[in-house]
Amino acid sequence: MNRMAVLWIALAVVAGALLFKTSQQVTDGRQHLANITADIRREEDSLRVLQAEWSYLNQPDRLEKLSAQYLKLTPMKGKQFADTASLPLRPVAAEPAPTETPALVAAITTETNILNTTEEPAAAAEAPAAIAPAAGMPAAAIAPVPMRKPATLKAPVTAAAPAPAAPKPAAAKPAMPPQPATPKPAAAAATTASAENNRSFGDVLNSLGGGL
Amino acid sequence: MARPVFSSGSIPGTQSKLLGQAKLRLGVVALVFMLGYLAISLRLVDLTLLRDIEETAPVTAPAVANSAAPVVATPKIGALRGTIVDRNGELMATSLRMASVYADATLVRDPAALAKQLAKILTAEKEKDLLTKLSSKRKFIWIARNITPRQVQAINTMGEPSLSFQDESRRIYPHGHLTSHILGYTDVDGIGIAGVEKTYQKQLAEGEEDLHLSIDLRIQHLLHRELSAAVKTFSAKAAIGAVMDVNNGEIIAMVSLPDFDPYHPAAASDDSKFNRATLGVFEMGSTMKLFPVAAALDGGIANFGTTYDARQPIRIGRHTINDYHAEKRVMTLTDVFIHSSNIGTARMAQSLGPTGLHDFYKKLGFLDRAPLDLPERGAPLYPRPWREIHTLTASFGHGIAVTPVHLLRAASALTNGGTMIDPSLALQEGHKETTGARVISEETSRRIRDLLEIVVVGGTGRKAAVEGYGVGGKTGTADKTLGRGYNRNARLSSFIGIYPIEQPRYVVLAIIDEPQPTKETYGYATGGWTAAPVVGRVIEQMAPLYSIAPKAPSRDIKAEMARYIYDKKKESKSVATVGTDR
Repeated sequence: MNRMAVLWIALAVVAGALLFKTSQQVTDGRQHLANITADIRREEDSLRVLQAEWSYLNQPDRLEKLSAQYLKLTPMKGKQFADTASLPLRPVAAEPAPTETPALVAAITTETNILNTTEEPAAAAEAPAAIAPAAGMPAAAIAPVPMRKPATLKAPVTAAAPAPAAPKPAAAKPAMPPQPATPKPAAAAATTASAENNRSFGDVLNSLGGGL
Repeated sequence: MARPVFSSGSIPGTQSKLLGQAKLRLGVVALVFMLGYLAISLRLVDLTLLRDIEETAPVTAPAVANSAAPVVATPKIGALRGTIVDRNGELMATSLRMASVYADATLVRDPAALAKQLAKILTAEKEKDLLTKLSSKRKFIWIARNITPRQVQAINTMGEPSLSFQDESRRIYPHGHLTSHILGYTDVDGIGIAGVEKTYQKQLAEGEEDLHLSIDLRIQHLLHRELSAAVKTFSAKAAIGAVMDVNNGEIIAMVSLPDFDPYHPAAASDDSKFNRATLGVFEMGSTMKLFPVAAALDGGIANFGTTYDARQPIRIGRHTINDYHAEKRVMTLTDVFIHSSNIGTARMAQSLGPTGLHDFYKKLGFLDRAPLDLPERGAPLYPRPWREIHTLTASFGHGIAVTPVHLLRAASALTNGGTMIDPSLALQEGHKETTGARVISEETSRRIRDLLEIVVVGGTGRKAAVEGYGVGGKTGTADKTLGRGYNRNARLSSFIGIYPIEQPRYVVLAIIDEPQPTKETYGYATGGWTAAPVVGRVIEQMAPLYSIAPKAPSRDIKAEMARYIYDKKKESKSVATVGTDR
């Protein structure tokens, strides 16, 4: 009996201790959950603030000014488009090429050039210079076309096909690295933009009249 | 010890019997308790060791929901009003949690010093006002509402014990003026009271899903910029513009100038808050001539070559219908449209019968409010009862006033193949198809497009032409009503353009209110000189963004239509017909 009583008391103590521990864990868990909930709320709030700021910074008006200041891009015009069918075929070269490959490479290179430049929103200064040799291809093509190493085609092709003429980097300089598809409309003056660039969202809210 | 007492063998007789009974009872009670404890411990083991948290959650959730413990049961965190985004997901309106600072003025020791410090941080507040508040000795007084996180930090750094913060939410419109009339605004409690903020109040208040609009902020900006420029150039009073998909009625852009900053609706004048594009009704003038022409063509009572006598002004009662630049000849339907002859159009309307035009206008929705998900929708004004004279005047857009949305909708129906569409601002799930009622046949719609094209190629709308894109359109210049008459010097110049004209996708409308002629427009302030260039520039910049490939005109519309057009042009080709668009 004695032993039984001790056993029961021990069990009761253990059970009590376990219960206490569990209840403590629950309390801690609740606290933890509340903290996490508050954290999530804070994160969500700052996400919203950042989204609002991002949207504010992406105001078309502002982008337009920045684009005018730094990119020298203007909106695309309908006449700047061309389709491949409207391109003249490359005339047969006067000097027969050793294999078919160099001509093909040249054709591909010039074609990619043409496509790149024509589909680009005309860059104010460089573009006309770059389009000119491409557009006036028939004239240029009587003499072997000066070749530039195609950026996209890699070693195997170029190694197999030595260029007929020395590459003239100045003439064949690509107009610009291809820009992301969406053109930034740009028309207005580029003068006032610099002050705008350094504004932060706090200032923005201030300017909106933060303290109502 | 206890053992002999409970042993049954040692005490004989009734005592033993009683003891046995007691023992039995004790045993039963013990058993009950044991079972009870066993059940509890089993349940404990089950809950703590065997089940996952996710599994237990549904068990406890209903109980918690009833009790005052919100920790587990919150479905979403911090319910702020929903955001509004454009068709590309660009943010147009959102709510931010912002702090407001208040003071317990009884705790302020040195109000003057504190006011000075605060005025430095809260630039919008005046030091004098702050001082009054801080020395008011009240337990609670607002110092500033909705301050920025940076200001909160600065105030916290001060460590002033009398100041505390309270979280509040504030509606933010990152694009400011750009979409003011579309979005509308909310009141101080964050309830939408204008624009889509009001239309979709319920959805936004729940705050769970973004509201997608059909607006494209890039196009909206284009339109806003071009219209603002036109208002400036022509010293105009106001301007309206819109771009809509002719096939499903999605509004891509909509501008009404002057506009306002929805962040400060209270500071805006009533005039700038007035949405002219949807609420304003105007006598549109010649732009409306499109519709009697369509009715005549569709009714089979006329074709391109049908002639109308425009030699004499029409006199009915005390009214006289005259032409602005009278051609004074018999004109073909094509000529009537190109030269925008009032007399010719009136004769055409007459040929439709006494109720012909009225019924056609009814079908085009000109006599009812236009469907649109905005609370600001204007009711058209038209003569009731409708007499013969009204058929004549309404044919060239006088005596009937409709909203620009009406015009967009009807012009879309005429050019998209002949079916009505419902304009909308909220982006629909999936692709919205034209399923509306048919108003004219496909064939008539094609002919209308021919007429619109010739107006841009060789008529009053030449300033809207865009290289590479076939544009069709109609100009309009209406004298504004002044009391019971018309004011010759206050005009509403408009242009409605449709492109690509072979297979229309978008309709672009520009209306300039009271433009003043400039030197560059040779003294004209008509739709062809003021509104058409706006439409042309918008189309020119919009088409590449929408991947519409430019192409050379597939036909020579001028040559095709030449036999319907009066030959006078040959003699005076250099003398443009531009400007005769009355």
